[in-house]
Amino acid sequence: MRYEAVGKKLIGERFDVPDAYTRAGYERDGGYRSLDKLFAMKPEEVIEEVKRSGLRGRGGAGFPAGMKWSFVPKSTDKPKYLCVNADEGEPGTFKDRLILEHDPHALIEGIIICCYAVGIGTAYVYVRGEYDHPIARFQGAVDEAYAAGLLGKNVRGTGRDIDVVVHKGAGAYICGEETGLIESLEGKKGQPRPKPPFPAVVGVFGCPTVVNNVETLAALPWIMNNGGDAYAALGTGKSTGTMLFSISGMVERPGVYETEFGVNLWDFIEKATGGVKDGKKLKAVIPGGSSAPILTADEARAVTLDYESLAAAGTMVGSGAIMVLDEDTCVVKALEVIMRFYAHESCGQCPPCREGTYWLYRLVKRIREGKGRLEDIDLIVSICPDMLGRTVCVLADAAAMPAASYVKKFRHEFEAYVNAEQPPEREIPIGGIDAEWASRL
Amino acid sequence: MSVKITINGMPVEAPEGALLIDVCRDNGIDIPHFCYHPGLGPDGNCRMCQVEFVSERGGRLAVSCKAVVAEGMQVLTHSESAKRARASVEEMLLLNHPLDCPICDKAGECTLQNYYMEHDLQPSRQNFTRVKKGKAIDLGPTMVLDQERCVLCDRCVRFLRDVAGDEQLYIAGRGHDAFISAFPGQEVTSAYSLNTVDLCPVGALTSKDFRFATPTWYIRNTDSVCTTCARGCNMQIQVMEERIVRMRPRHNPEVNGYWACDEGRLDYKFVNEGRVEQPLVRREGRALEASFEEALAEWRRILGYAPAGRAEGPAPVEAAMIASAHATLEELYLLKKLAARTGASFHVARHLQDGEDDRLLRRADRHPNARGAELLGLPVIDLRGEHAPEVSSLASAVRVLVGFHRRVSPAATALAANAAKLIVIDACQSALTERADLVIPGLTFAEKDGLVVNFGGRVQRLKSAVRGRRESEWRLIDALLASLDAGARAASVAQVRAEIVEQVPAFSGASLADVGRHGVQLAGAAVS
Repeated sequence: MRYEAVGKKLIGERFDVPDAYTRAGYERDGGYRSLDKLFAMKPEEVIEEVKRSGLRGRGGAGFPAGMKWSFVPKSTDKPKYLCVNADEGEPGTFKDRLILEHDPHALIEGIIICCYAVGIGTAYVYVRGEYDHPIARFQGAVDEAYAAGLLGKNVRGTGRDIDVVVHKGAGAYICGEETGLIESLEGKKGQPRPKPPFPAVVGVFGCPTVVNNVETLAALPWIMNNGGDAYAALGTGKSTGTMLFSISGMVERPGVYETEFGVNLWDFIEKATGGVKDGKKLKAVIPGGSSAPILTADEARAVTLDYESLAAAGTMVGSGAIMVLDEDTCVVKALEVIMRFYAHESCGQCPPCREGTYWLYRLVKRIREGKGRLEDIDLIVSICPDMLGRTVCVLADAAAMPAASYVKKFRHEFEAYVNAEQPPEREIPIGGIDAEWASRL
Repeated sequence: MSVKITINGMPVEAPEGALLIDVCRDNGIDIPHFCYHPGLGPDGNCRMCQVEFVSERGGRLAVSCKAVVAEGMQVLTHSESAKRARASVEEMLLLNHPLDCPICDKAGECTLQNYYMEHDLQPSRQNFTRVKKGKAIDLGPTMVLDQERCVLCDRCVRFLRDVAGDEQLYIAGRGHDAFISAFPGQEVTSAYSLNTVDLCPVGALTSKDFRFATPTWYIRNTDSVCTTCARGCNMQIQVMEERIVRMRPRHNPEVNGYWACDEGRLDYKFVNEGRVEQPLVRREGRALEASFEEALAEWRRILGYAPAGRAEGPAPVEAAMIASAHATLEELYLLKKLAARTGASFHVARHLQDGEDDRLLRRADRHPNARGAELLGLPVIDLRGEHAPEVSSLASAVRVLVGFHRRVSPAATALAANAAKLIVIDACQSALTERADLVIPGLTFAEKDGLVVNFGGRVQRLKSAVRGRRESEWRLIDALLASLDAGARAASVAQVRAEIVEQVPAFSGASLADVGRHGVQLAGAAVS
């Protein structure tokens, strides 16, 4: 997997160090350095430091990490838990696996920091089941950390016990949703829970639980070493620090790229990947995973890459999965693939999602097959509002948001199918997989 | 403690900790819902009960079944956005729902159907082939499942798992392919399975017993009580054309909550068939039909009494009377009087099923009124297996057996074993009526008006749901008593109740005249 940084290298600073995945390599590169400082601080000071950094969750929702921690009740007679979300299920996202593979000890160090700050004794790392190699690497690092007394009983003589348990997921997108993950971890069917109560109060096994993404935790050692203010100085406004972006689709060099927030979106993509593949023209950019509303080429060239700017542009940073569509890519086919995905992955609890995702998929598919009618296009637009914010979790939103935006911004392509004009030929670009690539498999 | 909230601009005081959906209902606003049920608690999956919560930041939609009332909460149940949200959920649920209402057992009492009339009334915007799922799936002895009609509210799954403790249904699959199913290769065998049919808001789970029995709008309801065990679950007896077609539990928080067992609710077949139609007098081995007056005269004759005011006739004969604990309080009271008047012994008998009371409702004592007998001061004989322990010590010249109509066991038959003359008052034909010298037809629980006392000392009222074509037992006994002494007959069963309150210390002060829908708890009679 290609990794580069455009500007500041922070999360990925060790991705190029060949043996950083071992404790020896990690510590040689300054790893576990933050712990001395950490254990000299009071837990609430650590939370304050993280709050000051402005670090936001990198799993998709972008919720401030320090604030999430502070929701965990201070006085409780129940054990507290940390769930590390390494399910990495959002289509187009492939950045957490780099951390697990190349810098697993950074995640462990982040886990220790979080556990110390919140008073947690056990961390469950819920890893995407397909990630055989990353799981092996991470488990190896956990074993090393136990052997070195960094995990287990009485960590580094602090009197604190911290256990890390690696749990393999079984491939459901919904288990990346924090409460779906918790249900799955408890051995039940992966179905999100209604909130409130939030996991910070009632989480794993009914106990207070912090759920954090891999990248969020991996940013903690740097914050502890350099201070929250140093982190907050990076980026822009409320989008502090750097983030890993998984860039795929019709670009010259797909891969994971790190950047500070606040850069121009298309500028960043072009610098990082070399621009649209084969000198073609840019058609659109999906900035934050398959659930993010699409941006036209003009919008992508105009917008700044940070939480607020993308929200103002009607889309989101999400999990940082940027997908690029070139002039030959068919938006209708792209949406069909995305709708098929959400119809397949809906857990089926809530009618608006269970029925709505499948309805959307069937409508888009019918249009793509050339059997659609103009009313179908309007129907897609009118169904979407009934799926937004009406369900237990945001999977319905994740399907309705792209559907509404694709139709709104590329209506002429949908109409072209209905009117039996020649549609653009190229197959779908999701996750860097196109027909040409698939034919080589 | 209570909190003040505002519903649709109306100030409402609500108990602290209450769910908004309940508070709305208690204030006359029914919020549509599928997955919520007061007996199961909220789940939040169906999204039908969304209402708008108003704050300074504007309106926000959320489900009312998960919302606990809080001081100052402002709610709009029928704002445009709330109505739109619910209408869209209704539309989503109908997208792939089969349009087979005309042949669906649930039609007329179907939540989905009712809400469609309330919210939508539009033709479907969906013009695809509807999703195909399993039809008419045999779930076991009691139920049939139609997966296409299901709205996946999860009530059946939650009831069996959380209330009955028999996890036998689950939701398989995911998304639009999700469906309710029994576990592979297994059946639903819970003793409480049919509650899931009541809970089912649509026609997905249907009772084998009730399938295609009648359109629901022909049903007439009578509030009564189950007589299958000592719990006395509150029941609705549902009748069409003077035949019981279904019994369903009705809510009584003190007795059965919302539930009833399958055995109890299906225990009505004997009302419809196999009845004793006419008094029968046996003369020289032949059973002759007789009128009630003739039957009373025969009873008196067998007991050795002349009609009142006439001197001749044989001397009274030593008799033993045994009533089943199915008999009502009024019947037992009058029989006790009769026994005292004629010098007969009087016992009440009940069958005890092997095994314990179960964890939910079912009692080992399979009778509705053994507690009532005890409170009347009557000795109760426990029948187990084939044994009737005290029978050998009972008088054998005449035996009078009352109300054993259901499950006449070998032990009950043994009660008649060494009797020279046998009088049976019973609703159903049985081994006892076969050999009796006098058979007088009685009424079943569904035809009579009477009181029973459950194991916990709660007096509950059986009400007549079906017109009985026979004389009720209490009138019969009362008439016999009156004829012995030329006394006055009781004008009504209410008069008998008043007499019980007056005469029997255990019922002193109890409002037997008006036991209400949920019964009356006798002070000091609660079981330990």
